[in-house]
Amino acid sequence: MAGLRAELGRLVRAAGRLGRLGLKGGILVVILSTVLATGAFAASTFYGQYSGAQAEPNTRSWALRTPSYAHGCGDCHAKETVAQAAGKHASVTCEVCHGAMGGHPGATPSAGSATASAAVPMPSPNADLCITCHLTAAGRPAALPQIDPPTHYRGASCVRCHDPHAIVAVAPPDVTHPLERLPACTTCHAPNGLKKIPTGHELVADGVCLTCHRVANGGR
Amino acid sequence: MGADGRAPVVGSATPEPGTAGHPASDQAAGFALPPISRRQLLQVAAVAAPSLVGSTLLFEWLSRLTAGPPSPPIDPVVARYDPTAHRWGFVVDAAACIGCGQCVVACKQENDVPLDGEHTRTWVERHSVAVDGTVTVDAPEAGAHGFPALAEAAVAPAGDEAGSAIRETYFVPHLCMQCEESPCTQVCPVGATYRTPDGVILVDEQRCIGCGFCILACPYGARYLVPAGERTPKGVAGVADKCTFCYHRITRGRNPACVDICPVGARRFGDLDDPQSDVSRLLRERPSKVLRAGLGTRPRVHYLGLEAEPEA
Amino acid sequence: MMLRLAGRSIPADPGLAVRVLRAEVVGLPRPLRLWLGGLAAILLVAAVAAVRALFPGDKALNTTPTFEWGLLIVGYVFFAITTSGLCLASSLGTVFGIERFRPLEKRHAILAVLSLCTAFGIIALDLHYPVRMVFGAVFNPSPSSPMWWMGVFYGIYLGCLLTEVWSMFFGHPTIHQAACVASSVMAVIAPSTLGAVFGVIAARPFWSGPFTPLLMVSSAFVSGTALLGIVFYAVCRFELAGVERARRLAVPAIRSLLLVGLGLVSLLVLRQTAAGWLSADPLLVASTRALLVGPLALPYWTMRIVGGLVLPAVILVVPWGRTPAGVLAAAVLAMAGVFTDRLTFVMAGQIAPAGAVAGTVSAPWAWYVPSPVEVAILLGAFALVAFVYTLAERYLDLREADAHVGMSLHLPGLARVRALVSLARRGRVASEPLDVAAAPGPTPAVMVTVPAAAEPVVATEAVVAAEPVVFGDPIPVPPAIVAAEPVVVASAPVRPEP
Repeated sequence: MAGLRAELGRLVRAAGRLGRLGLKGGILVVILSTVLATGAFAASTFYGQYSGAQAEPNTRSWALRTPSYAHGCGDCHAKETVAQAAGKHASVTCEVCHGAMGGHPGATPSAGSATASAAVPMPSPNADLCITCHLTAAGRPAALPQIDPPTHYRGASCVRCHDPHAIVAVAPPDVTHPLERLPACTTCHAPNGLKKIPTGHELVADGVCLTCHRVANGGR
Repeated sequence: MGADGRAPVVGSATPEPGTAGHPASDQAAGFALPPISRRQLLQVAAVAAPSLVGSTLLFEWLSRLTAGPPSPPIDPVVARYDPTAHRWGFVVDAAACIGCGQCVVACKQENDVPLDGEHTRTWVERHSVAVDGTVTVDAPEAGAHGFPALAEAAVAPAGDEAGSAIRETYFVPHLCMQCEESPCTQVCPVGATYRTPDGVILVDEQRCIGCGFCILACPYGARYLVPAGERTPKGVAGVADKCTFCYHRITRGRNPACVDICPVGARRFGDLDDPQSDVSRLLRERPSKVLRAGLGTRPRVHYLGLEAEPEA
Repeated sequence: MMLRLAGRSIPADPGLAVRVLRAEVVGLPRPLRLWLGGLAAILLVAAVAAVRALFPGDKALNTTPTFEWGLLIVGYVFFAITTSGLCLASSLGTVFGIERFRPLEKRHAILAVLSLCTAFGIIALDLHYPVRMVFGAVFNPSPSSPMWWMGVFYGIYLGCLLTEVWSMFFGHPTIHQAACVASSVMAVIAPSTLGAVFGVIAARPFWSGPFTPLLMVSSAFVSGTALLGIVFYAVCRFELAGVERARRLAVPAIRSLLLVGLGLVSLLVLRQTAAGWLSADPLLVASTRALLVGPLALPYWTMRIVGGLVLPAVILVVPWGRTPAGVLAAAVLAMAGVFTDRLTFVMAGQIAPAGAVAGTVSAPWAWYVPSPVEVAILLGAFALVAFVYTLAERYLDLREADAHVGMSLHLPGLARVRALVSLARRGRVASEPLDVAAAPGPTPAVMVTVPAAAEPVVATEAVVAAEPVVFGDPIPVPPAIVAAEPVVVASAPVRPEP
């Protein structure tokens, strides 16, 4: 009996020792695991995944960006695109002048055209826009029409004469103002010595001049 | 100091036996390490093994816990894209370029590139070649807003007037050449810039350390470090950025933005492996050259209409 | 709670620490206090600048895509190669055992560590993501990149240097000898790789080519030796520890080394100039023209050629060059020359834009002016080296390390050497004033230096008798040492107390 008790006591003590050892080891394991995991986690979080084929996720992240420039404007804006395709601006896509329309509702061909709205403000074509291409500059091919803004209908909006969507071969009056097509006015007014039309001046039938030259005192 | 020369030597500076700095332990460390018992080895293993397992589990749990919102649904077209099936190439027709700069504007718009002329993925240069072969270059604001009437930089360098008269002027659009032997990927110390199977060189903005080595190694000046500001291509400043051939567009079967926007077709893009593509046809039909061919970088961007340009 | 530092027990009490520090500052001689105070002020400004520079992509640095490497890279290269120069110069004493290169050896090592750490600090501020670099270099190595190898080699180099300094001050002569050899090897490899970083950039012909590593190593030699010259002057001027031997031995050493270095650099500069001027490569010609007759000509000719090569050589040749002041003048000029060379080198490589089609660019030079932040960081780098070095000079024993003497090649027989070495090591660990040195010569000799108040002792007695008392346990000294060898009796040349 006593032997058994002693044996039991030894067992209990041994178990206790083992338990204490286990506890110590366990605490050590927990601490070590936490430190290791936190370190690795911090490393992977802040400095990217450095395991396996790293290029793959980054390549995908580049591929998944959203395009800003859309396509298929003609799906809704057929009138303009058809006219344009026939003219000299055939190679000039819509977004050259109108800017990126990726965010324009219904811009993508797959989306319904019914939702189209003016969510994206369209830049109105003005002289600054046109002269990015059509300013006379050294290096531009001779075939490209180029203007010198101070001498080419200064102050007039380009679209007053040129319809950007239907540019055709017939050119409007040229820069140096040879007004061949305006006989009615030029019988009195020399092409390069233009004067304002005096008050009460009878309007001539040919109104080409008057698109630019308003009658003084709002005569019209 | 005591009168005896040795006494102070013995003094308090000597560490107590058994402490860390004691010479005895020093000596042991200096000559040989004590042998490790099997028991110690087992103890170490008993702690190390569960720790490794535990840390792995903990790491996984932490990763799940902090995982961001699910990535956006992958565009079905992008998902079907096979990078090994293409060999992208680019053709620039310098003879056709009118220097409108719309490509630069489009690139900046498409890729959130900073709007100034210095930090840019693409730009247009105007080259004025003098009679004596000197080339003068100007590219105001990277050419984004067109060019002034006269090449201001073409003001002849001092010297004989006849030789410095401008013989020819033309525009040269620039972008990353996506070299097959790319100096940038070779010099990057951390492998942050790499080449995709379809031949586009990209920058991993999570890896780049911003050392600038690739920027200096690039013979074409096609790279820049993203400045802090509103417009950062990937929302990360201080990392290298460059033309990606609009990777998000070409993986959707579209052209890069600059190609789509060019009003005169001076920029063409396509698969060099496809004999029917624009680029293959142009390269077959017209004489072309690559820039700084002597460096052996084997660019994927080819130039037409640069006959007047002196070789470098 | 007590902290143990260098064998002393220090109570870990903040209040006490402040009091001790205050007492220490008040106790400094006035000029030293002003010097340290001034440096601390510069460091403070530099610290603010450093914080500014840490924000990625911030405009604090004036570098641009056309001029991506600026003053911080210049500073990094300068300090990195100066480190190597120090090691190359000191290796003549520590590795090849040439006596006259020995007097400043501890100073070499301290300065080398300081200079390299400063270089690392500068590059960390120039990088936008320095921590990423550590992770990237380890987890995503890029062996095709010389910059990666530069990181690897400079990392190893720093390890060697730290080992060298540690073993030097704590007396582990075997380790020390190995570390000295290793850091001397790295002193060639590391700056060569740094040269290769520039050398592989084919896009910039002014930098590229096989001569760039050579230029870096020889420039390193000049700037390292020049820094030693400056330190030598300080040792003589302020009568610092080991001044006697330094005065006797260091002047010829520094003179010859500096002259050799200047000669080497002159040859390479001549090559660079001739090759660049006569080249067919328009970019290389443009860079060389910028350097020789263009916007970089003024600093190049005044600071680099005349001030950095010609004048120091002349000073070293004339008799005045044998005085400490002469050495100082030559050293400062040579050092400014090396710095100017790094500046003009980095700038000339970028001044002709590489992006142009033909390279025959007559567009205006690319240009770069450092921002105040960059200037402040660079000044701070110099101030940091000076500040920490001054503290080291005041609080550390910078006389020749005994450990070296124990390893002196004059001593025949390995067992004997080891016995001496272990003795010296213990002496260093146990007690500061004990100084054991074997005088070089055909017969090994032991010299014991004891404090001023002590009686002259016979070294045999000191060595043998001291063992059990000082070190607790007996040291295995081969009987040869004690019994057979003649021993010098030395009454100490007493160490001047600071």
